[in-house]
Amino acid sequence: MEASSHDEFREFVEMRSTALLRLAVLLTGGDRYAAEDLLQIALMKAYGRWARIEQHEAYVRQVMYRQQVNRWRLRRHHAETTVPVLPDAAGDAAAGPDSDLRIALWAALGRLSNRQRAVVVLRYFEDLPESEVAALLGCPVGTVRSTAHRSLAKLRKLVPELGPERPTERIQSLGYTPKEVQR
Amino acid sequence: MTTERVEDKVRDTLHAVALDRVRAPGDLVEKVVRRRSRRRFSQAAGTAVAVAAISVGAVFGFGDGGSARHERPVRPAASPATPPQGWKPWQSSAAGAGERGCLVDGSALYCSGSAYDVAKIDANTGKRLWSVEVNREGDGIDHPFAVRDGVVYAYRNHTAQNQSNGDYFGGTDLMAVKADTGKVLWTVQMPQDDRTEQAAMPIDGAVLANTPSVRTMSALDPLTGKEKWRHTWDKGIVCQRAVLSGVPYLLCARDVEKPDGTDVIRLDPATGSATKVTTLPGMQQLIGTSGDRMVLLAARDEDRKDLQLTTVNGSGEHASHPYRVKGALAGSDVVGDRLITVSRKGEASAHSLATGKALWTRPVGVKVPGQDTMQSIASPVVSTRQGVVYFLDPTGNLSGLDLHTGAQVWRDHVDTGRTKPGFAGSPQLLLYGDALVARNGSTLVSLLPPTGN
Repeated sequence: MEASSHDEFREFVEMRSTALLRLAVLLTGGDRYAAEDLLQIALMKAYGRWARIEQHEAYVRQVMYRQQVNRWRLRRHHAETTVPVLPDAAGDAAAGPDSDLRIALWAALGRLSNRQRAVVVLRYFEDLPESEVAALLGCPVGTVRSTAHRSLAKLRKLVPELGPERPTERIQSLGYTPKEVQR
Repeated sequence: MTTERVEDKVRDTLHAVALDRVRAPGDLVEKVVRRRSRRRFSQAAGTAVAVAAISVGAVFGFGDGGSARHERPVRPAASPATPPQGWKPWQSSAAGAGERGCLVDGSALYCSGSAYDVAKIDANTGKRLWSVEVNREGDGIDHPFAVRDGVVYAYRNHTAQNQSNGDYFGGTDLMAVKADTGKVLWTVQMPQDDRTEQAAMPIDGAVLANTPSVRTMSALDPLTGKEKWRHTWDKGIVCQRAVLSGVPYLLCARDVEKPDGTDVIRLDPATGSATKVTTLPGMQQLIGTSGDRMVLLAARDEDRKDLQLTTVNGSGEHASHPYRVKGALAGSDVVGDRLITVSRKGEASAHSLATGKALWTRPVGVKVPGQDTMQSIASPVVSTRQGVVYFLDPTGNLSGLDLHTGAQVWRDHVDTGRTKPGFAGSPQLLLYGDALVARNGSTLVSLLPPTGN
């Protein structure tokens, strides 16, 4: 790598690494060590082709998301990570009616598979539409939809306070509305 | 709950995760480059050869390429107390560098002392890296309050000159210093000598400072100190200040003994436009922040023993619980999701901020100075990873209590020496990874409490 590119890379890391690490913490369900590992891997990949990348941050983010999904593919038996101590838990200090639910939800998010969590972060943290999530992860829109659906179903199971899914919603989430529920 | 509601709850939860304390390590570029070159070497030479080379390199200490040092983040093993990378126990007694206090950021301590307004100290070794000399005097109890994007923010005297009557009154400047070199980037004069944590604080894209008047908060460009916007409140009003996730809030009440209420006002960090989010009854005293909430106390009776503990978020949602103070307090601090108090009798208590309930009360394990002394114990620090809250007294006694039960899990004593006259302030305890830094006067001692072993 040329010195100018190296300097540019250094400047990028200095300016953006904390924000990217925070995203990685969400993607790894609060696992600080896995988060730094994920960020390092993404930066390593970007470093090798720095001069040829136009949108550096978008590239690093995409690598992080895809890497997270690939980890799931490669290490399926580790799909569910458990975190002994939840660092900086979601609103763990937040009093009020929703605080217990938030704490339970954050713990449950840590128990989703990496792929499920990546989809959840893209859909509900980054607020991206399904089509953009699919493009980022390199999978069909239907896969994003079904993964999101299964993630929410798992969260309902892990956090009983969310209550069961309504039968009508479950049917609609499958992508069609049978006659008996049509109005 | 409908799917839409569940989605909203997930969205709320993800946005409420307290990520403020997550910071990338300062040597990330070096780690990435080293890790990449090892991988390339391994790919080119074959794994077996590479492993052999790394082993030999480790024995003979060949440069970074052959170092056995792991760039990949290493998860701590079962033992919760893990030394930070490159750290060894150290003690430093560099006079003039630390009497006013320190801040930990990355792998450095940024301290203020009698001779230096800012001194950068390697948190792994205790060695001083650079320093900025005081402007004539450095005798306050202030210290650098923030480090962001490679800039340290601290205070110094505005002038070294005597007044026309011959007296010296230094005044106060807010100062920005480059973290890697110690070069002063800019200074802005403050209207009073308030150097407490509410005088200036980093917000999204700016530093919010109580300048140019005592009734004004100005957002200053972090690299130039130029004013971006300002918010001024009316005469007869006092406003406390807090920041939640980069957004500034004011808690404003009439400057009378018993105001009717305290307005919680959100300022847009980009423009300074103000929005009142709620009004809370009476005079609310801001005692800290916890995650996405401000923590407030209000007196419910004349002798101020029956209090109301309130937490309020940026939308104005709040919850209040009764909170009763028993006996004289030596200190109280919001630490994580708990209010930790220490009584003059030497008992530590933890209250849940979520419920207001007392979780435990146990002996604190250090000597609490009497009421008639200036000194007190250090503000406690919590290692959430280890689940321990640590205390330090002015004589160097250290104690670690289990955060969940209050049981003492560790105690030790460090020799922090005698405090220089004029600097008889309270000691300070800092957390650097799992290691502790105990400061008393200018003496700094860094040690790793073997909790969890």
